[in-house]
Amino acid sequence: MIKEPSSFRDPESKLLFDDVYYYRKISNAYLPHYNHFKISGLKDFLSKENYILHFQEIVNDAIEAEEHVKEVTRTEIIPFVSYPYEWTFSQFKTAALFTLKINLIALEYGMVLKDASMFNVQFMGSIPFFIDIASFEIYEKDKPWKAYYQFCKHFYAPLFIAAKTNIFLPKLLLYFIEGIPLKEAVSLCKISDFFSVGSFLHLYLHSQGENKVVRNGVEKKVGKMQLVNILKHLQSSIEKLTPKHKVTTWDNYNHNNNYFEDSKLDKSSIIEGFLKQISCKKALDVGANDGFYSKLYSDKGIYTLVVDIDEFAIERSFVENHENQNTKIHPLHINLVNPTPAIGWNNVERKSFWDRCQVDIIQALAVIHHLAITHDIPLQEIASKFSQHTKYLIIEFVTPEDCQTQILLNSKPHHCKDYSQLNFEIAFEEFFFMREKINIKGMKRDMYFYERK
Amino acid sequence: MIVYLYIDPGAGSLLIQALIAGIISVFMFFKNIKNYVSAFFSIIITKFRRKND
Repeated sequence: MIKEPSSFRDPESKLLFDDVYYYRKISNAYLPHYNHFKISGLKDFLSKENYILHFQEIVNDAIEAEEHVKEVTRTEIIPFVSYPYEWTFSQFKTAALFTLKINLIALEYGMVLKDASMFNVQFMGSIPFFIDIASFEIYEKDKPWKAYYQFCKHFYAPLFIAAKTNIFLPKLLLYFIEGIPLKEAVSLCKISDFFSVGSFLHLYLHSQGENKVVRNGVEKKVGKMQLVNILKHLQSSIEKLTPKHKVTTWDNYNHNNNYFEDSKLDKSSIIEGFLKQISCKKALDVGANDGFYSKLYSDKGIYTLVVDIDEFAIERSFVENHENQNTKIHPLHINLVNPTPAIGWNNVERKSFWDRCQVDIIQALAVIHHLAITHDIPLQEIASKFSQHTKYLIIEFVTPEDCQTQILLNSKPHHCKDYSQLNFEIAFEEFFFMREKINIKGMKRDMYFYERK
Repeated sequence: MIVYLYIDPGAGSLLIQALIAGIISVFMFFKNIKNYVSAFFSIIITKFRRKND
């Protein structure tokens, strides 16, 4: 068993893991809350609704021999741990509303969330669930919600600045790992942005209390009904937030391009033919746009990470799959040429994208020319990187004669020599065996099916 | 000068939360009245239209 490097902030409950399970140590101090969580029926309700992962108590002498450890629970490892700075706007909003919903349910059972970390929400495909069962504590009458400030830093502030200023601003969380300070968020907005009750109270007024010196023993009362009102008001304020939609390069690319429209059927049947030959559990679709071809994987029960640089294309994928309650498609807003780095304490608290990404198959359709020409990444580097993370690879080679490649080569003519089909095959066949190669009908593009050597 | 590193930035939030809770409660009170009034009139209007139909 290995200690989970991100589990050190809460002394009352720590996580360990092995290849199959997560193990949670419940300390002596947390035991009364944990017992209430079970006895009150909250655990059963959340479990029944799939709001938390099913877990069981186990006997583990080695862990239980540790001082202060009273119980050990076990849950299965989830397919992929994603971070808020990789989520699209709607994904983030879903996670925020989900946290509020969980807290409102907890209050009905006499409990409350003692923390409201954005990292406590994960996605099974496009459906959120809550991972930290040790976040629930027994509600004490008239106590203010101690996680209110954290909720606003972790959820409200990133969503608000994304909606009002720039959709990329939640990426600031890569720097502000403990949430965006409210004063920083306020400084990014215009005065007129605070003309709504929600933004004025939860962000502007709230920021005025930030970094204030408070004398010991000074604590105001907040009644349960008032707390419920705060939570419901946060819900309605967040529900109203929508980003300003800008038309981006890849937005609607899969829908508006006749050039690709004609090849869709052929390309889909080629991919299906490849997939029939192998058995996979987890896939990564890079440059997936809105995940049109990712569905070929999820329909076969393969858990698929749908990754693209375009926020709005990937947003569409999330919205559609969330509405359909899809638990196999996991959309992520990631730039492949600058993927999520490892951050936090010791640079291991939150892992890098590639550190979390071991899959059975990678699909890279019509991205190779962008990586090699637009971003100047050598073909051999791309092949090497993919081979470190997958056994199988389905990759579309866009030949130099293709009209889209021609546009790229016109602006980067020095790549005319090295970007060739021969060089592509040499680079990839250093790391992979070619299982199959099929031309896409009517196009100067070929689909390659590779297996790692 | 306040040395921020020694201050719990969330401590002031607990105080201001009580103020925010109070404002929201007043806001919700008037919002509920508005909802009741609009619901009342919409029922009357619907009944009136049905009669006329």
